[in-house]
Amino acid sequence: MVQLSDEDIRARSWDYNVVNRFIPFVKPYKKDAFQGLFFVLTLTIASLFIPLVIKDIIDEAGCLVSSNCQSAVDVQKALLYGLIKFVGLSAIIGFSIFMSEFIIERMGEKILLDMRTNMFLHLQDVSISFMDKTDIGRLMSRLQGDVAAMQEALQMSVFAIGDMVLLVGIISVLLFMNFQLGILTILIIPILILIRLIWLPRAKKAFLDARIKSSLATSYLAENINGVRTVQTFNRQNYNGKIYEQKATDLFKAQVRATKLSALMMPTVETLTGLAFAIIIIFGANLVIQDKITAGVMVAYILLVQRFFEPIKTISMQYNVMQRAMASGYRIFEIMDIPVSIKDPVKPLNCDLDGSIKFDNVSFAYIDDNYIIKNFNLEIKNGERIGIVGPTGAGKSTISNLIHRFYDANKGKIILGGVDIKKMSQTHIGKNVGMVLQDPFLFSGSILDNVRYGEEKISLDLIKEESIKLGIDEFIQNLPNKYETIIGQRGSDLSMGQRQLLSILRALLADTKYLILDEATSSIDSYTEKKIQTALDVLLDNRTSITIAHRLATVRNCDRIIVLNDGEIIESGNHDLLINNKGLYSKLYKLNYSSFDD
Amino acid sequence: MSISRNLVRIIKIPLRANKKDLAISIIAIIFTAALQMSIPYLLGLSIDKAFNNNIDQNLSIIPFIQIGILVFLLSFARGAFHYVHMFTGEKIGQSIAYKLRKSYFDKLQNLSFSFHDTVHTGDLITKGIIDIEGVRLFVNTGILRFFLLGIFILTGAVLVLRIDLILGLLALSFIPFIGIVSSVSRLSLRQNWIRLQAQLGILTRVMDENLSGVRLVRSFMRQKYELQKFSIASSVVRKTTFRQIFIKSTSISINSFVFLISMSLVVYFGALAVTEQTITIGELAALVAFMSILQGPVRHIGQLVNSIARASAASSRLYDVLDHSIEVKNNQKSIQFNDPVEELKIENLGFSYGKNEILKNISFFANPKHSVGIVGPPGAGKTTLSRLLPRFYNLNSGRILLNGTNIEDINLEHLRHSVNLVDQDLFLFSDTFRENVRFGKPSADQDEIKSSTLKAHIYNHIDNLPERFETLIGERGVQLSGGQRQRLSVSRTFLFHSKVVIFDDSTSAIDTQTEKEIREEMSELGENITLIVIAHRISSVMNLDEILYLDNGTILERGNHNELIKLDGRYANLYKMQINPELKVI
Repeated sequence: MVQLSDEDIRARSWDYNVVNRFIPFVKPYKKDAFQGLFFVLTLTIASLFIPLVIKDIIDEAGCLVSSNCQSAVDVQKALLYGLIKFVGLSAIIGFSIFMSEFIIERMGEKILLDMRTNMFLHLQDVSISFMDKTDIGRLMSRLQGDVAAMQEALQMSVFAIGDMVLLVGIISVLLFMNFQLGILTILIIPILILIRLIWLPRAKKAFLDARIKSSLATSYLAENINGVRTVQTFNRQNYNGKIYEQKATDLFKAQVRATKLSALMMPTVETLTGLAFAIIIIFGANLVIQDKITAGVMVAYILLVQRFFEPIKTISMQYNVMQRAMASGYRIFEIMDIPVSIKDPVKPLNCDLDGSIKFDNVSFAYIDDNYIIKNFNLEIKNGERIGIVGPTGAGKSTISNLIHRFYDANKGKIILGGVDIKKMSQTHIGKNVGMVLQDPFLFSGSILDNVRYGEEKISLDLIKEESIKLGIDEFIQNLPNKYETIIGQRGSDLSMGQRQLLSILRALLADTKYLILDEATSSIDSYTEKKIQTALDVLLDNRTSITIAHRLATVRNCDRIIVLNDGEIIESGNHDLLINNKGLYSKLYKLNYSSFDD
Repeated sequence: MSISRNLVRIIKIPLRANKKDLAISIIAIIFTAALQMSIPYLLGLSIDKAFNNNIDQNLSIIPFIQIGILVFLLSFARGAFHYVHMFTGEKIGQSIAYKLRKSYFDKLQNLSFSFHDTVHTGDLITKGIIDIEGVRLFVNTGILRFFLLGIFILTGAVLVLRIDLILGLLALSFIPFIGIVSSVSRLSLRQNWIRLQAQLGILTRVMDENLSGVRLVRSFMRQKYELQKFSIASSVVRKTTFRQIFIKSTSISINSFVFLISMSLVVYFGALAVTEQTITIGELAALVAFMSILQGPVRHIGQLVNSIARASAASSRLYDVLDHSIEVKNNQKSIQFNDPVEELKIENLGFSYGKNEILKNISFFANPKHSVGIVGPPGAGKTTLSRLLPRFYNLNSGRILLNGTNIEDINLEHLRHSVNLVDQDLFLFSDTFRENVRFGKPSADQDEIKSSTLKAHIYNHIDNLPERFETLIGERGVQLSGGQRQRLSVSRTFLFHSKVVIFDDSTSAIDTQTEKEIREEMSELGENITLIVIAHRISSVMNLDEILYLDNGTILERGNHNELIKLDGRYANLYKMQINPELKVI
């Protein structure tokens, strides 16, 4: 059984598997990546030249002051030349900043979208059994937060390459200008590495802890928003408020702890910069006095050292982002790896179906060998109206799940219109088998959008016609904007019964050869139900239908009623026959029980 | 740069609650900046000295050691202050986030059904996570960093203007340009953020509905259509995001360019001034070092502006919820109510959703000896009526009296403890069975839990599970059938010990016999339970003292079962239909 792992338990900042899986997503944007990198490098190199240009300018001015160089006119010229170089570099830098930011961020956005689309597409194909067991909120947080974390890390990585190059560039320039002073200056790097080694494991733990606390607070918030009506029913507002307060406090404390550590790199780096400055001042000045370097070199050193620590600072900050991204990547690929257990055949046989259904020795279990139905046989003729009744757990809904191939049978075959359902495409099944589900799901949007559900060619006239037949036109006409009325979330402003009525209409409009009504009228009073059944008598005329219910009245008029118990057909026949049979059906019927149940 | 009204409210939070941290942070910022700016001065000084000593051939190294140590110490101090600033800044940000989270949570828990009916839960969750995060980031990376930059520039201005007025002004000349670029981009970024957040909301909804409605999607095989919806929503988001990236990149690059140009002018004219000996080389070096310090922050201005724009959009979205008035709340004279219920009386009740009239002129009463059943077609107003009794909505007309007191005058908590609704749309929390059963009374012990689950006929099921009452429900634990869920919800109500219990079609998946037994348990519990039952199954209501047939918001027929059968109206028809479905619809 596929089950999603817990959130945020992972603390690694580099996970080879995650990175490896991520590469294919970057591949289509190789061009963007290289362009972006090109501009990052251009930017980095151009930035390295700025201190050098400044050095030249200062030295030119300096030599005039110490009056050991040529004419003032030459110096003027050299200064102007320096200015032109500076402006040129500025233009290159400005342009490269724009290009690198724009290209890299846009690439990140494209990759984010690709990953999300990929996950979303995959979720359209994973088995219903997985979806049944999985909390949608967790899938949503993977589609949103986790993908965004990956994107952030990707963008940062490209810029980090620039930072690394900057670091190497600065070191080279420092060594190039004066080897001795260069060596002295970069001596502080080992100190920094040492500090980082001590810092990292503590920071790791603190970051992880903050993330866990954040996810706990978030899921509590989400659940209480979803269950707010129950919360108010049981006066839990204050109690829950206190629990949440605790979680928010934990989060606050964990964040502050993490900040204590993450903010520590900044002063460390700044103090070390000061140390480098001190080295430059003491040894550099000495070299200047001894004429080994110019004053301009000393200025350039200062400017370079100032920038030297910038990449180190950002690289330290990036740790948390990487850690989060690796955990996110793990979760994203976990979704993408859920196997698609039900696949279309390579060459689907999508021919016209004759309206019959045959269960041939079908066995099915949701878990292990806990068989819900065993060696089940049933033949339904074209145009037949079948009713299935039985207590909870008898396997009624399983039968409808199997016909639509939401699940595959463990044994046996289901033959739809003469063709094994495994031999046709699932789209073909969908086109032929309409379903009205127990939970009448409605989308945000208008009534019209909902009953059409993507089939724009269904005309309003037809919709009206069918809803008049079903007897629900009146209720729709009474809504503020009639068929154009926008309904609230999942139809929350409609009653459960009204939602069921709309979902019956939707299924009828889909105009399928087979129709399965699975407890489709359970929230509708018998009187209205009866009206609908009378309408369905006409509407279902040319179709094969299966009505699943635990209310006896619901299936009363079916051509054949099947009484299901423990996955077995214990009685079958029309109402009169079953009454004469004196079995369970007639017993319940006579006792005035209107329904079956556990 | 105008800052939106809601952002001002955010800024006011630390002004009120984190005065100390704020003061520390600001002092730390000032010291950080002042120390930071003293360093270029010392660097310049040492360069000057080195340069002059070179000319004079003065080989003394002692002053450099002194300056070097001073620079190191100042850097250390600057680092320390910077740490304090970063830490307190982050703490303020986190504590604002904490406060917002808490008030947001409390607000949502208390907002009436009428609010929750109109909003999407996904939207509310996003606000609670992403928008609060946006606001939090704003405090540290937004306001405080802006402040730091401002102080940098101010202290730096003193330094550079003292060196040379013209060069100093030149060194500061980038400021107005960046100011203009930033204000322009802030405005368009803000517009863009508002748009983006709305579009993200739609994308979230499309994904959420697709996943929640997976069975529907699959049964209609409309994955293509769903994908189309998804593609449209995401490409709209993509376009807006690209625009945001464009604005941000443009402003960042213009800022950096303008800054570098003014730096190049400082270097050029500075060098000229050096040749004319109006300033020294060290002073020029100090000017350049000063500007170089600003280079990083200037590059970040684009991000800061973006974070302010984002926070301003996020804060208005948050305050949309936080400012929403709670419709149903205690009035000033609300009274305590713990008495046994003698009578629940509904008088001329009327209710509408907007212009849509749901219930009109409903009057009836219920008491421990007079239980009431309600039947009727979909949309008759049954569920709405059931939700009015614990006052989840306010009435438009008429009144509801509990022992003669208008429920609007009764303390809400007491009212809802007295009048409990078992909703058809039942919600279980992903927690253990134990916590779900005692949801209404978290202090309940195992005995109470056992007895209420026994009465609801769910005890044996739970007791047979591997971890019994500690078993988790939902994704991580067991899946329950419709009937089991309903029994669990009934056990929750048993434990809550309410005086009035309303069942809104909440036993439909429980068989008749068990339902009857549960009902009997309930009356044994205390003869003082007042029962109101909404059901489609006649057997669920036929034994009650009065049955109301509700249609189109009005009571069409009323009386006990026998009377209604005699009346031979809609109810009688319903009854006959259930026991004898051959009847034709009239």
